[in-house]
Amino acid sequence: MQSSQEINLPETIDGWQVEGPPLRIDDTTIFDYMDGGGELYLAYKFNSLLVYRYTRGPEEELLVEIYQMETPDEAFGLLSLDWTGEPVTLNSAFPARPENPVCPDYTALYGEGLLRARAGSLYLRILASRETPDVRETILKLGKILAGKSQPQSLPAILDVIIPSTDSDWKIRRDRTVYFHSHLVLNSFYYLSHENILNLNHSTEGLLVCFEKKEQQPGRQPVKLIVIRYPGIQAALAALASFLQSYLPEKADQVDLCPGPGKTGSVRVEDGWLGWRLSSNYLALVFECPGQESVAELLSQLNFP
Amino acid sequence: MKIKKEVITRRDFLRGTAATALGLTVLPDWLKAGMVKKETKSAADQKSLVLVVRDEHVLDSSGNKVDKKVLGGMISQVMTALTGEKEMKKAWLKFFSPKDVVGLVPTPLMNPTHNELIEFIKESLVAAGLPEANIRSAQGRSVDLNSITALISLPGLKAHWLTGIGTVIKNYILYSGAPRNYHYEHSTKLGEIWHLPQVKGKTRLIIVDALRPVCDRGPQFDPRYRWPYKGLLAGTDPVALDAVGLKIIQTKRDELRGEHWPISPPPICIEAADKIYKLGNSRLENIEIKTIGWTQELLL
Repeated sequence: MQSSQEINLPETIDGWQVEGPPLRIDDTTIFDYMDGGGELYLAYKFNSLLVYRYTRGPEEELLVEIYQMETPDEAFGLLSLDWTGEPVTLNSAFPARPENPVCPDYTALYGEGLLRARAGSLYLRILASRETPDVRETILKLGKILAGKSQPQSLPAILDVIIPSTDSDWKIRRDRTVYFHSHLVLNSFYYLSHENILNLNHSTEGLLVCFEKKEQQPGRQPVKLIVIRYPGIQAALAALASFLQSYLPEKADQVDLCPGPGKTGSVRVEDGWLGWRLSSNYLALVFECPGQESVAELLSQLNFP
Repeated sequence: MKIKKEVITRRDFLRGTAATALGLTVLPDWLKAGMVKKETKSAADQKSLVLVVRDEHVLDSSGNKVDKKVLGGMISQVMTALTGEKEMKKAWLKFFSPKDVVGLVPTPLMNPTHNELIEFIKESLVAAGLPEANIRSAQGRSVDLNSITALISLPGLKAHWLTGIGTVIKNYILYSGAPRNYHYEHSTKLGEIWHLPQVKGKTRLIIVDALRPVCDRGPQFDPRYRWPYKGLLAGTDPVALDAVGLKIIQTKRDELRGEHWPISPPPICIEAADKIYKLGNSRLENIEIKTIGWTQELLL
C-alpha cells in the first residue's frame, strides 16, 4: 500500500517550482491549517497531510494536498462527497472493473483547476489558483505521479449490502452515494438532527443512497436510504432506540426494542413514509417514500450478511 | 427507555417549529437577563434594509481580477443609499467619528474577502478623517476588542458544511475563543457571540463580499461552485443579510443542479439569531431588499 512517506514529487515541473519542503500536518495541527475544515478529515480516519506548494511567476500557485488516511475506504469516503466533475484516469495499469450498481467507479475527478482523487489510502487534492489548458496538464501529471504506484482500488464492503432489483420501479442515483462515519458528514447531505441520534463514530460505517423512480416525476425529491453497520448487535439496537426516541418519539413506546430477531417498521411522517429495518448489527432507514409499499420494496433490496 | 432530552430534528424544520423547540433554553445565564429586557423591542418590529449593489464590470473576464475603481463606485452607492449623503466623507462620518478605533473583520478562509474591498474601505475611512493607526484588522482570536470602538464586518458570501451558511453571523466565531463550541448542534448559539461584552453593539456596518460567492458547503474550496455574482450586500442587520445571502446561495444551487439542492444542515443559526438572540430579521417578508445596478441573474 502506498503511503505519503514514499511520496517524492519533483522540484520542478512544466515551469513550476516547488516552494520549500512540504508542510506536514497531523491531527493536532489540522485546525491551524484549515480551521473548521479539519473536522471533515477527522470525521474520516485521518493520519496525516502533506502540503506542497508550486509557484510559477508571482501570481500562479498549485497547491498539492496529500491526505494519508488509515484505509482505502476512508479515501473512498472523501471522494464520495462529490461525484461530479470530469472522470480522469491516473493509473491505467489496471483493467476496468465491472460497474458497481451503487456508486460510480471513478477514482479521480477534475473540474476547473481542481483534481480530487483516491489512490489506496491516499486522498489527493491538487488545486490551481487559475486554470488554463496547460495548468490542467500539469495537475494531471502530478496526479499520475502520486497515483501511479497505487494498487487496484477497492470499494468498502458495505456497498455489497445493497442489491438493486432489476424488477424494481426504483433506480439508484449512483452519483449521490456517500460513505461516512460521522453524523456531521451525514447532515451535510441529509439532515436528520444536529445531535448524533444514530450513535455514529469511527467504529460505524454508513452509506447514504438515493433512489428515484425509473419514471421520476419532475420536482420530486429522491428517496433516501441510510445503511449503517455497527460493531455489534447491541450497538445497532441501541442506535435504533436512540433514533426512535429522538425522531419518532410518538412511536418509540410502540416498538419492541428487546433483543431478538430482526425488527422492521414504517410510519408516515411530515415528508412521506419512513421505514426501518434492523438485522443483526445492521440498521437501515429509508426516508421520504411515497407509500408504505415503497418502504417495503426498498428495504427488500438489502442483503445483510 | 426514557427520552433523555428534547432533540431538534428534521421534522421540526418540516413542521416549522425548530425555533420554538429551541426556545430560550440555549441562552447562557449571562445572556438571559439582557435578552428578557430586550424582548419588548424586537428587531421584527420594523423592516430591515438590505442593499444589493452589483456591477458587471467589477471583475475582469477571467473573474480573477477586481477593478478597484468600479468596486469603489459600488461602495459609494452603498454609502449613499444607507445615509442619503452623496459626499463620501459625510457618508462615512454618519457611521464613524474620527475618534473611533475601527476594526475591519474580513473572512480569512475558504472564500476570503477580496483585499481590494478591505483596502478601499480603509482608504475611505482615512479620507473621511480617521487616523490610519485607528483602523485595524480585527479578525482572529487574539484581537484586542476592548480597544476597538466600532466594527465593520466584511465576510465573504459562502455556504458552510457545519452551519449551512458561513457568512455574517458566523464571521465573529473566532471572538468566542473556542470556535469548535459553535459547530455541530451548537451552531444555533452563534448569535450569542454578538452579545459578548467586548463585541455587543460595536458593529456599525456590514458589507458582504458577494463578488464571487461559493454555493457549495466546502469545507475546502472547490472552484466549480464559485461564480461571478459581482455584488455587495450591505446593511446593518446581520440576520437580514444572512437571510438574503442564503436566498442567493440556495437559488444558485438549485440552478446548478437543475433540481432542488437544499443547503444542509439547515442554517438554524439565522433563525436562532432572530428568534432567540434578537439580532435582526430572518424572514424575507420583514426585509426590504433594495437592488442597485446590474440585475442579470440576481437570484432574488
